[in-house]
Amino acid sequence: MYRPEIENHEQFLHLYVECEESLRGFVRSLLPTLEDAREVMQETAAVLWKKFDQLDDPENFRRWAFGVARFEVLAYRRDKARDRHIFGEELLTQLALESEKIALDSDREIKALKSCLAKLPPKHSALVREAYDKDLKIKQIAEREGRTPMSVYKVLHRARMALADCVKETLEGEEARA
Amino acid sequence: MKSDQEKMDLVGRYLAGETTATETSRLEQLMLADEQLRQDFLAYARVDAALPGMISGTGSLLDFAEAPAQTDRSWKGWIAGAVAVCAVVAWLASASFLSKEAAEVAHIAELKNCRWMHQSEASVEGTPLRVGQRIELSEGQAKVLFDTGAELQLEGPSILEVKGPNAAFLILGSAEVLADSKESQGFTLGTPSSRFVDLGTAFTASVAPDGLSRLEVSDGEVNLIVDHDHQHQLLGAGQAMLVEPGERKILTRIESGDASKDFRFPTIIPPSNQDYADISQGFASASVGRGLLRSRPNWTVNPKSILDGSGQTNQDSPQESVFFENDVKNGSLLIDLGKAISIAKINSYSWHQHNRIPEHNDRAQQKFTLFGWPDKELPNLEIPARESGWVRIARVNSEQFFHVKQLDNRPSQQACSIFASKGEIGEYRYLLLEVNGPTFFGEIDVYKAE
Repeated sequence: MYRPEIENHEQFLHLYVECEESLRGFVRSLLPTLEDAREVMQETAAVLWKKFDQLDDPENFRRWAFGVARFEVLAYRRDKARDRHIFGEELLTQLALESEKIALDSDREIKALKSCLAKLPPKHSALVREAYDKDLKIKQIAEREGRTPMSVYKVLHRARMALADCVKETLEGEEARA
Repeated sequence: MKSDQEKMDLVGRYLAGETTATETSRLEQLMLADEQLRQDFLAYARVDAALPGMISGTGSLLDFAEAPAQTDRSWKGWIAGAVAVCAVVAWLASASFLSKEAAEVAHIAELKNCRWMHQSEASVEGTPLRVGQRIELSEGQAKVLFDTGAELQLEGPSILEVKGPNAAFLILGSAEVLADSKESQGFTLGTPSSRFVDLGTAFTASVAPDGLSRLEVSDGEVNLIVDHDHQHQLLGAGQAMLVEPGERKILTRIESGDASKDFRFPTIIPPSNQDYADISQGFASASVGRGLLRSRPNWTVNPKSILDGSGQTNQDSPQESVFFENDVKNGSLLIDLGKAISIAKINSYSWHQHNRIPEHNDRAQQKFTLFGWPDKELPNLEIPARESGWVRIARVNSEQFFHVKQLDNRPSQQACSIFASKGEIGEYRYLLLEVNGPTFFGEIDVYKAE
């Protein structure tokens, strides 16, 4: 039985998954909190799906998706009146172009991130898991751990930098071996 | 990171929402001049964005789909979408999330007409399940039996992760939980927006692709715990609750009434003239946003009736009700609160039952999306609220809530209560109800936060 809606979903998902991680990173880079980024990604994905029928050529999906995401970020900031964190148009365009160019293999990047997380010192890894699994605020973690918010923030910041470095090295190593 | 520590500290503070306007501007100037910093910034942001989904097992592809009411996609379409989502989630999850040392805490006890999205170990009856293992079901039913005795009946399409000896996480779909043994007491089912803790009972949970979670208790009691703030709601047999995803965790409770003019409900208070929006208080007004209200030569529906402090005095009273002409499919009602106020709770009431024909009660249902707008200047009301910047507060679908499959099992009198798990719903000047089906509102009460 021909089921065009499923075919449509599959094509959408295929294209969406290909650029999801770089799109998510781009959206996150323009918003002050993860919760904001999550809401905008949700909105972006909904708009992409709703207007998917209007996309003439799947080849253009990536560019179109970044354009939609950019618009959604601006709309979100306007609605939430969070102007103090707005970058100007020039940087926004630059970040969009550079994010768009990053030819990421989401599956590989997620695998790399997972293996990098396992390489973090246990205490750092536990803190990262606590922060991201339960989506706790730094202040809440500090209270639970009996630490100052600044010390928690510093550990998380260092862990994120270490993870970003590790992911980059892992992917570069894989490419060199291929 | 190749960028120096000071610059990366600024990046970290920016992405934590901690920078001042001056610091944000400085970061902007630095990045405009420094390609390496832009690359490091994006790499850092990608890690930060990917971690929640990777660690909690949610938040990735599941973000994309919309609830049917928002996209005009059919329920079947949603299912098809969910199946497709399952397929890709399974594909992405193929990099096994399982630890070889993870303990076996449950097993597949029964399978009915199952189709799996991923060729996994959990494909035959008796297969043991370890902590961290996912079950991805596209069709059919699978019963998971925990060693504690807790039973979980999954209905495809669903994705479930075993979280511990007496805990699971429902990422998508629907699950019926029976946990009535001593050992299984406290069984916890997590969802993207909340946790349901069993107190020796049976309940059903479902999760839509965008994280909207629903809990319905069929026996005993369940504690509904909203993440972040650990606020909880105790639900008893016959009660149900919806939890919207998002920072504020808006809860929706729907109940059937005693079908009398007193509008008595199990927990929701009757219509009141003490709320902020009541006409007698002199602050608020009601009007039509979009669509035509029912009109007859000798009377016309007056939208103010929803703010008059009382519901209908009988079960079929058009002149005391607010409803649209039959051909209006997507009407909206606007409540102007006079100024932006902090809202604690919004209750809506409907009552409709034809005096002679039992099947004629379709207007009793409440199917609407509630939006808020904080400013004085309103957007064009002819444009759907989602496209004109309104903040979505909650989605209400009492038909789904009451499992209405036949016309005569729809409660004729219904109430819906919308509130935040903690604190207020938000600060709004206008409320907009985009109605997605027939209705017969008797009253809408808006309570101001203290």
